[in-house]
Amino acid sequence: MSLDTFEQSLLGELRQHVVARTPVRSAARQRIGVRLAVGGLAAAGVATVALVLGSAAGGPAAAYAVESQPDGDVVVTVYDLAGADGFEAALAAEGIRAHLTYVPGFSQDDGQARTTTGVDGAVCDIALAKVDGGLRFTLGAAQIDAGAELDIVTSGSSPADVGSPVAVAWSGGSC
Amino acid sequence: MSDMTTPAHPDIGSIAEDPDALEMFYREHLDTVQRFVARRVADPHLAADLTAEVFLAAIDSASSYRPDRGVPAAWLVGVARHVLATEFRRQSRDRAVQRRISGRRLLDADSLARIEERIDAEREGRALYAALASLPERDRALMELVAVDGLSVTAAAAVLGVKPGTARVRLHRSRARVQSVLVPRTQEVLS
Repeated sequence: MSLDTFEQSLLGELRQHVVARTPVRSAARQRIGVRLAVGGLAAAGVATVALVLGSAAGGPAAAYAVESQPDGDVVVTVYDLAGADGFEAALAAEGIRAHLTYVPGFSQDDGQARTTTGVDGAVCDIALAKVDGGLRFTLGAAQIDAGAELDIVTSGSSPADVGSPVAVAWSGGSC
Repeated sequence: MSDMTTPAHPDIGSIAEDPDALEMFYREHLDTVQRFVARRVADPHLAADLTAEVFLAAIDSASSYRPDRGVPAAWLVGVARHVLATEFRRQSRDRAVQRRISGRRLLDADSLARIEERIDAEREGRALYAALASLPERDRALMELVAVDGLSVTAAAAVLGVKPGTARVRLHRSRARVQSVLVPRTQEVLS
C-alpha cells in the first residue's frame, strides 16, 4: 500500500525503535541470571514454585510464586514479570492454561482487577491484593478443573507500584 | 477491516528484531489499525498518537503471539484494544501522557486531512461504539469487535479467548439489548 507522509514517517520511527531495542534487550538478559527454584512447604501441604532473578544490586529477588493449596486452589504472587519466560510453564505445572501478554504502559488502578463475571461470579471473579510488596491472587480449583484459561496482561515490572501493571481474567470454562 | 482469515505472518516474533519484517507487518495491518482507532477516537491528533502506540505495543509484545490463538490480525486487534483501554483510563484520570513516539508530531496537512476523512467515514461506527456502553464489559468487547470492527464471530471469539458458541449466545443477548437504545439509522449497522 502507498503511504502518506505521516504513515511513512511513523514507519521510519518504528524501524528505529526496533533497531534500538534489540541490543538493550540482549544486555538485559545477560545482566539477569535466571534460575528456577522448586520447593515444598510440606508442613502446610503447600507446593511452591518460584522464579528467582539475580539482580544487579546483588541479592536475589523472587519474580513470582505459584503455590498449590490443599483444597486445589492455586495462590499466585507476582513481584516482577519482565522477561519471566517460565511463568506460563509454572502455571501449566499446576494445570492452569495461562496466556501472558506484554503491553507496554499497561496499568490499572490499585486493587482493581480486570475480572470476568461469568455464570457464577463467585468462582469467575479474580481479586487482586497487594501483599508483601507483590500482587497476589487466588485461582479457584473449580475453574482450574473446568479447563478455563487464564489471561494475564502486564507491562512487566514496575518497581514503584507492583499493584498497577498486571490484570488477570478467566476465559472459557464456565466463565 | 482487513480479512481476519488471511494466512498467518511467517514469524510475528521477528517484527521486534528485524526492521524489514516490521515494515511488512506494518504495511499489511496499518489500515486495520487506523480504522480501529477511527471508530473510537474523533480527534485526529490523538488518532495519530494511538496508531503509533498500537504498533509500538505490537513490537514490544510480539513474543507473546501464539498462532493457535488466532491470526496476526486478530492478535493485533487485541493489542489495540488494550492500548485504547489504557488511553481511556488515563484520560479519565486526567494524567499527562508521555509518548515514546508522538504521532501528531509526524502529521502534515495532507496526512491530517486523510485521518479526518477516515474519522468522518467511521462516524456511525463511533455512534454504535458509544451505544455499547449499556452492556456489561465482557459483552461489550464482543459486540465492539463484531458490530463495530466487522470481525467474524469466530475471529472475535479468538481475540477475546472464548469459544465461538459462547460468543454467539452472548451476541444474541447483546443485540437485543443494544437495539433498544439505538437510533434507527445505527440499527442498520447491527442487522
